[in-house]
Amino acid sequence: MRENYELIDLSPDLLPLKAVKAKSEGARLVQICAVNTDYGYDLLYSFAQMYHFLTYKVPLKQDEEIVSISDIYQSASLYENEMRELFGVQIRHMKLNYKDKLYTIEAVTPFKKKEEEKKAAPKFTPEQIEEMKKAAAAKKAAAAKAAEEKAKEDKDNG
Amino acid sequence: MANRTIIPFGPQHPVLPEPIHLDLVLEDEKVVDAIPKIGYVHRGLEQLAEKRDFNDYLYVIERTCGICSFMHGMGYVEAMERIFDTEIPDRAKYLRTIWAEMSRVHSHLLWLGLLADAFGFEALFYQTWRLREQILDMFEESTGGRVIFSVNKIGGVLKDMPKEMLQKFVRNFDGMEKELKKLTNVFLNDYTVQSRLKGVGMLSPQDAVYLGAAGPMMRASGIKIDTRTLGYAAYSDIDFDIITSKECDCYARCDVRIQEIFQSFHIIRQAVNKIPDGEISVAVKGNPNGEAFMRVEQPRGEAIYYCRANGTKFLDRVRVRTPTFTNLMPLLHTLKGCELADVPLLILTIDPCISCTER
Repeated sequence: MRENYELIDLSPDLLPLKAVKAKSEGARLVQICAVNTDYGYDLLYSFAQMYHFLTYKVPLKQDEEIVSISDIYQSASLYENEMRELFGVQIRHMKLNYKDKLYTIEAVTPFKKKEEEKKAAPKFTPEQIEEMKKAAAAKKAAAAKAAEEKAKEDKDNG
Repeated sequence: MANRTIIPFGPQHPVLPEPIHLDLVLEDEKVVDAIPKIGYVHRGLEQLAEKRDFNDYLYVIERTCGICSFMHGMGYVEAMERIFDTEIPDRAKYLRTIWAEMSRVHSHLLWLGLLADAFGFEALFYQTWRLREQILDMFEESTGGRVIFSVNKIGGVLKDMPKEMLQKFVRNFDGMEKELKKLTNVFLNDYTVQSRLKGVGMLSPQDAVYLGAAGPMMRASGIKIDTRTLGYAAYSDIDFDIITSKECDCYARCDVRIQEIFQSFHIIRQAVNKIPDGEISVAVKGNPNGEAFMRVEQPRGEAIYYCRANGTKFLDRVRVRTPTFTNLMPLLHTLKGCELADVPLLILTIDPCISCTER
């Protein structure tokens, strides 16, 4: 048996509305996290009722702000502070703002994707991977053939 | 208004096994506010997923925490199995369940010892940790490790437990259960223990839900939620109740954890009786593509794993929502209004695991 879990795309301005709805239905806020993407972030807000696990995926541009839901769910405060400090997500109207003092680390927004990293990270498409595999297989076959020939040569010689 | 004083608590404190800092705002002896500071053991493990092969990353995530290392590994591999859409063999599911419950027994015994130590009951502390030692020995015998086991893999488990070993473990647990019953009597009925725990750190059921409490912290406030009932691993075939308490205080949290140990013994016995023969893993080929969530019930509460893969061997993101992180908010809430002398006990009753919190 697997739980029923949903992933729904949501625009940033609809988020508070959905949070109020989730709270009125008795759902718990179980996690918020940020994921780095090419355009900025995907913010994932997960609400859980017993067997139902609902996650809203909110795409956000790097320089865009999102409204805090800590007024609706107080437990959101720590997640929001974490996102702000580790990823540099800009959040408006936070009920509890530790002003980058929750994590005592020297690095500023260590998880935020840097511009040069974006270019450096090689991302291969499945076709490219298939080609690379074929090339590797061909190379291996050639090496095996050469070894075989060499062995044959050695045998002939002595 | 009385004068306000700020007292720094931690990062080094006798009651804390790991570093966390709290600025306690006091009015006379009463705490009126608490400001947390974490990050002393922040290692950036979540980001390491982008630089490690997804198979190798399992060994990284197991090192998130030394107490529930098995559970962290299990949560991650089950999330990855969802991405691969793989069904693992039944025997592997049962083996995972047994090790998971052994981890729970280990964690709760460790916590009970720390609790006894926190209110100065040294003899009780030694007795509890003596029991815990037996669990560690069993881990060593079955997995080869006492702290980090590395027995999970995507598609099953790496090691099997023979029938004789399982039966020996059950006999060990029978002995442990008898000894633990004697200790339970002290933890729950002793006058000095009760005077420190009863009526301290009240958390109402409503606060428990909306402040995001998890695990025994939530169940001690009467909320009947246990992620094991979702039926991951072999839990769907096993009969068990959700243990709750209506007291909502530190005593209730202690009570819930103790009853959970007995329940874990019960679950292990059932699992040993029902475990089928067969393979312990299936081969999983290729690179993952997609995203998945997984919820598991760790000793400290519900942990959530999120993995996003992009078709290469490096993952885009691994997120671990650990129970202590979500229990921090209820902790800050219960600290408000308590006496300064109760602060160490309150921090301890959420069963803090700071390595998990900061990752």
